[in-house]
Amino acid sequence: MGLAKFIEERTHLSQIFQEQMVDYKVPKNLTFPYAFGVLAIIAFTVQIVSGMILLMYYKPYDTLAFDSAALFIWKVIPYGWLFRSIHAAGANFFLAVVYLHMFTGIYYNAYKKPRELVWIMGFIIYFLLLLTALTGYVLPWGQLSYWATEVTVEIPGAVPGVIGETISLLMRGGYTLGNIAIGRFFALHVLILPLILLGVVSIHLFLVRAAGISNPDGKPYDKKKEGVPFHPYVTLKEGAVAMFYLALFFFFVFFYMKEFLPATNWEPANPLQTPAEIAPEWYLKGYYAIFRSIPNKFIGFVTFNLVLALILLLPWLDFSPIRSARRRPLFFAMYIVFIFAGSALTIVGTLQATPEVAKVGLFFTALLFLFFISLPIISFIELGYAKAKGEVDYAKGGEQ
Amino acid sequence: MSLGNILKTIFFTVFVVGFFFIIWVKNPFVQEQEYPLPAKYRAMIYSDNPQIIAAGRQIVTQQCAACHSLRYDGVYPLSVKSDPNYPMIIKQFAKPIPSDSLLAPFHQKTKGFAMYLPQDVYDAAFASELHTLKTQFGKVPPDLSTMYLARGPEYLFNWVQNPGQIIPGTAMPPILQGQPKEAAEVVAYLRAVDTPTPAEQTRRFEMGVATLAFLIFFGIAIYLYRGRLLDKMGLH
Repeated sequence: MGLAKFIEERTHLSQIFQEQMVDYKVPKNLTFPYAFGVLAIIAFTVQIVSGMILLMYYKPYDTLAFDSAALFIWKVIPYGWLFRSIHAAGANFFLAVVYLHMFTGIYYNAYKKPRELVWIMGFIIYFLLLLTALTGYVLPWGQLSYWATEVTVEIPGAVPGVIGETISLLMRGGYTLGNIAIGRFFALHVLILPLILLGVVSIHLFLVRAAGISNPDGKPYDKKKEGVPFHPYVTLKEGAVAMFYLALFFFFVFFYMKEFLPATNWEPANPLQTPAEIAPEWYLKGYYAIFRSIPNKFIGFVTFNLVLALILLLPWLDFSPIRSARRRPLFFAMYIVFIFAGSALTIVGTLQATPEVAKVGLFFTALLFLFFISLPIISFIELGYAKAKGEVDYAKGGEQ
Repeated sequence: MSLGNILKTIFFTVFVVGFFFIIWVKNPFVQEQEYPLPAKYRAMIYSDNPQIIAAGRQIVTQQCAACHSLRYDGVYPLSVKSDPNYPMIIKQFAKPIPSDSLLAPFHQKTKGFAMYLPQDVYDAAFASELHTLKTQFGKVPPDLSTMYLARGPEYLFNWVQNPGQIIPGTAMPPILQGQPKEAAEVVAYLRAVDTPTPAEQTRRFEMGVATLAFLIFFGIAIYLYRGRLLDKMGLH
């Protein structure tokens, strides 16, 4: 007890805990999907810890990389198989959780004033995460690593003229993927991007606390009357959810790694032999399907980047004073269209490229844009509705 | 919860689970090429029988290793092995890697360790042999170390018997044509190289079950504790 008292007198930790965790009141009606934020932090921690172990044995060099992963880490180092499985499955789970977190945010309109910055920071995290996944994917230096990266670095080449070629060259580190690319991707993956991510995640969390958590009903609530203490009400609930999430995660780690360590990647990278099917990982397949469906490469490139930009601009596309899909039937309908089109595009990305598949891809791309186009229209209708009902005031700020 | 909310919850749950089932577990829109593998030979491949593995290793070292290497078990092409520098290079550069116990009997001289040459050393030291193989076949025949994981037993079983049927015009000769038993032995050996021993597999399975049991138990415990705590605090 002496030590605890010593630390307490100097840091006032319990006071900080009281202020930040217990006195912090959140709405009582937070639904299950609100846990995805916490799960994303857990997934990030899992990646960092397992990555540290892998970093001790991995060799970023073209002739040694495959053996260091497939022989030493996988077979020789005690429990190396476990940490590689955790890291590989963890990357997929991390992105899955982040996608679900984003779709939850869109459903409850958590990007609206005063939470625009939260949304923008979240988007930056998402983008950096895609880059981290992409750079990490090349490291085992298997056939799929090599060719999926080759496909990805060729995509900016769709920009006509010198610019596209320069970006491709920069990403690839020369005209072929080799040691320079491995070195760059390695440094980005293990140090630069995670470090930036750590900072951006902290800012994201700070902004969530500064702007206050949204609530599923999208109505203002009285914090003193309706709020519940963050600890223990939410911490224990999400703690239990986290345990079940980890149970699901470890089920895949121990019993079903087929999809996360794909068969093709157990062959060493061979620049001379293109495998039958090359496509990016599932979390990029939606964008890839858009890119592939459009006959003109440059327009395809612009289109999928436009989707990214529109996601970033959601707070301004959707200017309706009414929040949460629970109270917005029109938005709810379009949201269903949105998730349907997004998942369908991801699945279209898994199919072989044929003209028919490209047509299906174009159809779902159109549906995806229908959602973005409908947002200002719905907002305009709802603005009129809200004004007629005199509900506009709380759209101009205030805690909700 | 109102009926609408219940319906919404069910819809979104089914949607999310269905989506991840399609992209992670079974994609009904993608037809995978299937290769026949009779039950008798499947049983042989999965038997973990040391005799079958030994027979398979003998075929690999005598026939496949005419052109292929299998570096993770210390098997090198015959031309490489007959290089006068081979013993010296193995002595200087090869690293002993522990063989799984099913393969250990093959490495009695090296006390159960397979002698593994790092890829860069191997490529440089035997450049001329590898170049001869390359001119002969158009490319250096691939290393077989991870082939079981990369191609799976069904594909390999058919491949070693009749490669031309799977990839017409391939440089690989039909070495084991009409010899399914030998083909199964080869695949059983390739499996032994890439799969942990049965004891280790059991241990990993138990580890998995214990981890899941702990997490689920702990999750339920937290949830129950929370209920009691919230009752005491009057927050329920």
